[in-house]
Amino acid sequence: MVHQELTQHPYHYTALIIIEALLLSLYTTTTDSLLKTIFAILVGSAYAIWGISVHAGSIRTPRLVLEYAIVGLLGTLMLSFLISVT
Amino acid sequence: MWQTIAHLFSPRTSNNHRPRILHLEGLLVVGAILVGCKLLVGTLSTSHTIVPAVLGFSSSITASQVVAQTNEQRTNGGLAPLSIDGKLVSAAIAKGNNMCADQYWAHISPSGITPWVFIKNAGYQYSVAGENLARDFSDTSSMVAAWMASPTHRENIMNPRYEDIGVAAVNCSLLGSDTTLVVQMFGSKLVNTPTISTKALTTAQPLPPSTPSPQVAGEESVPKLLADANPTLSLGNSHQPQTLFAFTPLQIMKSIMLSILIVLLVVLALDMWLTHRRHTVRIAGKNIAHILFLVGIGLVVLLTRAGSIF
Repeated sequence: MVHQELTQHPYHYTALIIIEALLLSLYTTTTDSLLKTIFAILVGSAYAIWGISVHAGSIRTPRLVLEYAIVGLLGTLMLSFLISVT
Repeated sequence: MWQTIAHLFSPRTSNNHRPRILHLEGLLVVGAILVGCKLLVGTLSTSHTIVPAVLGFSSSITASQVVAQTNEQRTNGGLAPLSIDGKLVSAAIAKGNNMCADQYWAHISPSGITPWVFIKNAGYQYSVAGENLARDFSDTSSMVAAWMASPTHRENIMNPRYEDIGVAAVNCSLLGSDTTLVVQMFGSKLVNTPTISTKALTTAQPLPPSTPSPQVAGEESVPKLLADANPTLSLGNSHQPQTLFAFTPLQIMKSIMLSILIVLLVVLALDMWLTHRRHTVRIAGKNIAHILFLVGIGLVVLLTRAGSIF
């Protein structure tokens, strides 16, 4: 099922992995707290946008959009909380 | 009980074939729990009166470990190991306590006291000296690795002119957060130092005019110090009592985040498998995407280390 999903949307998942890897690398390597916070927000936002875009050609309900936004928000929260305790 | 757990974590009719924890409300509750934990950890780590013995200092760093790992680096580089000098240890403790008392994080205090003053006051007559500082590290290895990754700190550790070392690990509340400061002082004794009585050594002794100025190992005029952490000595001089549990706020938050991530990942994987097996048709987010995203976040959480050097 994983293979089926990945082969069905290869470009979407490639884009997701590349964008997230890039943003998380920038988050990890930077030492400035403000920049880290910005990258943390970008990580979550990028995921929400990706989620919305990947459902562009199919049924896209408000709850579906919110699901990606909240999962992205969870990621942003975790990264932000890491900044404040390091 | 079982029904509730299944309702929360497994797709079934009662939760519209999507685990309740993955519904919007469930995810929001997870987020609220995360925020609540962060606030709690923040409150407890800055308020000793609430839970004085649970949060705060990381005490896994010991003087002997710092010295051993420093000497290991020197030995690997073909240099002679350093000897622990009691006066340098005293100087390191004094410097650590001074940073806590005056609330600063620097080689030179706001009032202009250089590291050399602490070394001289400890009675160590030096021909060359240096200082390395570190804070917020949870273990010795990562701290020494951070020093070795910094050219100026590495230069101190690998300086062939140093013969002695003194390390102090001081627990205190610095600039609003509990931390373990590590002061590492290096030095070599003045070769032609006249014999000084024991009594004289215990008092502050200004260097004679002919004493050469200390060598600056770092950039510009930043002194170089190598810290020797002696837990017994340093804790005895710390401003705060030693905590019973060696958990830093970072360690606690990392544990909470990783626990939440593991739960979410397991539920997502289980949901994906069961819906595929049952051929359930529903409108929901892509579990594989959620898993990929959360795994990425988890890796960052897992690899994040605390600590800064100066």
